[in-house]
Amino acid sequence: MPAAIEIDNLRVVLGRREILRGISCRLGVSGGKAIGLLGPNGAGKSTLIQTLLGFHQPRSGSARIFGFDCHRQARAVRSRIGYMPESDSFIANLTAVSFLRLMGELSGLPSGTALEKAHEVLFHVGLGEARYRTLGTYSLGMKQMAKLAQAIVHGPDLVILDEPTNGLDPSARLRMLKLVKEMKEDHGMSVVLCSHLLRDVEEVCDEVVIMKDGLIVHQSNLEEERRSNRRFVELEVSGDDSALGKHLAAMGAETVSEGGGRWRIVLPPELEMAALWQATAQLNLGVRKLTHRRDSLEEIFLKAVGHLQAAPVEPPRIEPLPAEEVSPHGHL
Amino acid sequence: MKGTEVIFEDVSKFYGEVLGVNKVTLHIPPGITSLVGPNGSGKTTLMNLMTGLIHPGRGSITVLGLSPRDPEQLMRVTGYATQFDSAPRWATGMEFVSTGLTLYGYSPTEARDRAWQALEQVGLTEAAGRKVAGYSKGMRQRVRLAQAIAHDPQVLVLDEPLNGLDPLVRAETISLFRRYAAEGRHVILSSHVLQEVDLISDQVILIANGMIVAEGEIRGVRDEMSEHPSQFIIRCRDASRIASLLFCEDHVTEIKMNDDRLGLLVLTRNREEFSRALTRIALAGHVIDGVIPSDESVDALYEYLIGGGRA
Amino acid sequence: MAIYKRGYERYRGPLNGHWSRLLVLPRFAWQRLFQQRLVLVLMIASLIWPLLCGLFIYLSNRLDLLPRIPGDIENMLKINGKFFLIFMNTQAVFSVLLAALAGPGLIAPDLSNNALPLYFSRPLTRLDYVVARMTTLVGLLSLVTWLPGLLLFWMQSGMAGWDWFTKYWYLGVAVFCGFAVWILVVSLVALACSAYVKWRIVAGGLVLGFFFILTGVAQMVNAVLRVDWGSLLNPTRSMYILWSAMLGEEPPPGPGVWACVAMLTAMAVILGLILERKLRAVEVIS
Repeated sequence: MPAAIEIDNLRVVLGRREILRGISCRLGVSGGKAIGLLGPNGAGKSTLIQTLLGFHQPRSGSARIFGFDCHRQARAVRSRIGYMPESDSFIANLTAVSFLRLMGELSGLPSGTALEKAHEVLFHVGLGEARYRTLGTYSLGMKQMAKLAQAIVHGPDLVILDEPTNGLDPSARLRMLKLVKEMKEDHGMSVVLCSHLLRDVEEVCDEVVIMKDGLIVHQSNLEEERRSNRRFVELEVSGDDSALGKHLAAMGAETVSEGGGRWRIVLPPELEMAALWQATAQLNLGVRKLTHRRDSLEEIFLKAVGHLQAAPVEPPRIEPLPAEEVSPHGHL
Repeated sequence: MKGTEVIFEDVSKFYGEVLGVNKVTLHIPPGITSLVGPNGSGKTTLMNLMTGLIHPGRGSITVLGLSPRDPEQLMRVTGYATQFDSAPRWATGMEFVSTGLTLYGYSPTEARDRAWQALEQVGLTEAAGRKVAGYSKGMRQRVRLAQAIAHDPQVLVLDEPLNGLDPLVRAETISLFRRYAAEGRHVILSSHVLQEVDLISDQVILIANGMIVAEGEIRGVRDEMSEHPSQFIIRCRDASRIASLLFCEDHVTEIKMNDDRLGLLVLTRNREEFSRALTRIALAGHVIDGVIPSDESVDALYEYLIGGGRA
Repeated sequence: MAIYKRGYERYRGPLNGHWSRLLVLPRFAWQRLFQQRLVLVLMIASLIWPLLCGLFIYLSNRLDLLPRIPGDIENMLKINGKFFLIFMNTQAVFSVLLAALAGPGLIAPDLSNNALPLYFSRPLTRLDYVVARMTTLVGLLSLVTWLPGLLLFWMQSGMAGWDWFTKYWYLGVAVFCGFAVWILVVSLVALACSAYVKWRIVAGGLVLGFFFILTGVAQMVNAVLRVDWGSLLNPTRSMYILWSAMLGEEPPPGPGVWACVAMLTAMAVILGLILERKLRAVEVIS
């Protein structure tokens, strides 16, 4: 089964600037996975998404979704994917049901099915009661849900979500994330989640791709990272913890105090958790919190992005090629 | 005597029939205070009231001893960055900030200097000469922040200031807020990202349906909520044995076992006793891998006091 | 007892092809349009004149039904190019009114809330979108222009016989082609106005204004500069000249037929480009 997204040395030039400077990756190799797309503003995430949707022709290299070329076989690609844009997108004078029926039929659903699915998906995202009201009367959270609904109404294999929790209050954010998890786990869709909120990505995604300045600076599989790494510990204690650092150091552990009773500890391989409990008991400290942590996504992100900060590169100015010469390099 | 707090005294504001806020009483000390609540709960109304943009139908507001009915004085000490994209598209970043400053009475040169400093603090010096129309969403957010801090206000009121910022810029902006708070200023911001609110705020105000649901330091608020027992998640190997030991403690009200039998969800009425009980159990030889208080965060507070399931 | 757990299930069935998908937008638009009372009323009003023309044709072929009236009746009731010219002019006015009513609601709602990315992330190109919107208007306007026109022509041929048909066959072709060009221009104008102006009433007014104002401008140019090519700026005038030529009638004084054709083509192209410009799904900030 081909990987969901295969990008090979992709270069995209817009205007006079090269935005994507040669990206290669394979994402979503087994279906039903969520891929987080992160990066500072200006990294090229939007351009990448637009290229995947077929809006830009690559200067060289290729991008393929489910084996179809994104630009040359755009129709085939677009009929298999759903897209939830970041910005406000709706048609104000249509009811939710009409809107979804329209979107469903435009994606190719037969009209009877489109009507059924419109209702089903509206209930699924929690807009059941409001589905006969026009979209112009919806609140921001409801419009976001409607945007999500139109992205999945035709049962695509891959869904691209651009900042789905933008502006949502906490309850709505939880509902949105729950829906995304259901999409990949229960319905087997692959999801590309583009977000600035690392917490959302941590909660939902299995793989992570970090971009900066038009290049991919980090790609990792969060699932694997979650399974490994039992040696990092976060501890929070109540009581006078001033002596804890020295005590633990004497046992061979590295410690960093965050203040307020919070500590980050790296245990040496031979040290067991029981030793920690003994240490806190000896110092008469109560344990409020004790967790294992892998490198949190925030640290991975900062490391990956800071990595290139030493050598900032101005994107090279490219002269536009004359029309006949534009063709991707021979690939496959 | 000049006060050091932002005080709301029984304030109500209705827009015709539409509810803004209803009988709000608040005392906000210096430091970072977060306003948390669902959309439409009255956060923006509170901010507009604080900065004197609107006046309450009932009650009174005092900001550092000044009344919002005295805008000349009040506007000097407050800086406000709204959530709406209101920076004029045709101006450059520098023009936007420095023009605003001249309204405060600064000379053009001083306005430019201060504007430059503000833009430096938000990291927009490179783009200062470009028109706002060409800014990305995050940059527009930052230029609004710059114009709010340019005149060095004592009270900074910010409506969702971190919206649309990438993680690097978020971290920088948060350290900006921390600096302000350390100098004794007020930083009052609203946010939906509860995890951040948890990390950065000194105080939190929860608002729903136009009424204040809770205010104060997060731990303090939690401690006051006696009708909800505290929840802890325990990761351990011998779950059933540990559960039976915990049941013997009389402060434990409920224990749920995880499906994988490697974890427990424990509800207890007394956190200190629970902590001591855990230590005893661990020292007796049972392996306890993790202890996670699952409700000492603003997330949990929000869940308890405001709840979810809204359409 | 049986418990059915039915919730949202992901659709995995077959998808429609390109052409049926293209018809989706027109179908939805027609449905909404015909729910509007004003549109219905205008449609019916537009069909009154063809009805009267039908009566006229009937009478002209059955002169025996008329009472004896002094004068050259036969010549007055003759069905020829002039008859169809009058017909086309009247229907043209109605078609502009209909376009002004129906056009603005087609593109403006999509643009005002940025719905285009939702369209273009589906298997739909910009050209597909414009074609679909054009089809809506073209279908609607056809109902009041060449369809009744051809019906009248067919009725006349039937009643007047084969000889008349062999002599005047070009009238049928002219009605169809003449209206086709007209519908194309009017639709493009309506769509362009809809794309640039968000308020439907203003857009409608703009469509009407396009034709009336240009008439005035053309006349001004003619009068001030004492020329007659000013009429080229007036699409209604150019069309009139074109139709006269096609229907075999004497074209009115003014620019020649080919000049008119060229001008109309240029207008259509410019309008098309304007439309294309406005329909970008993606803001490219370079």
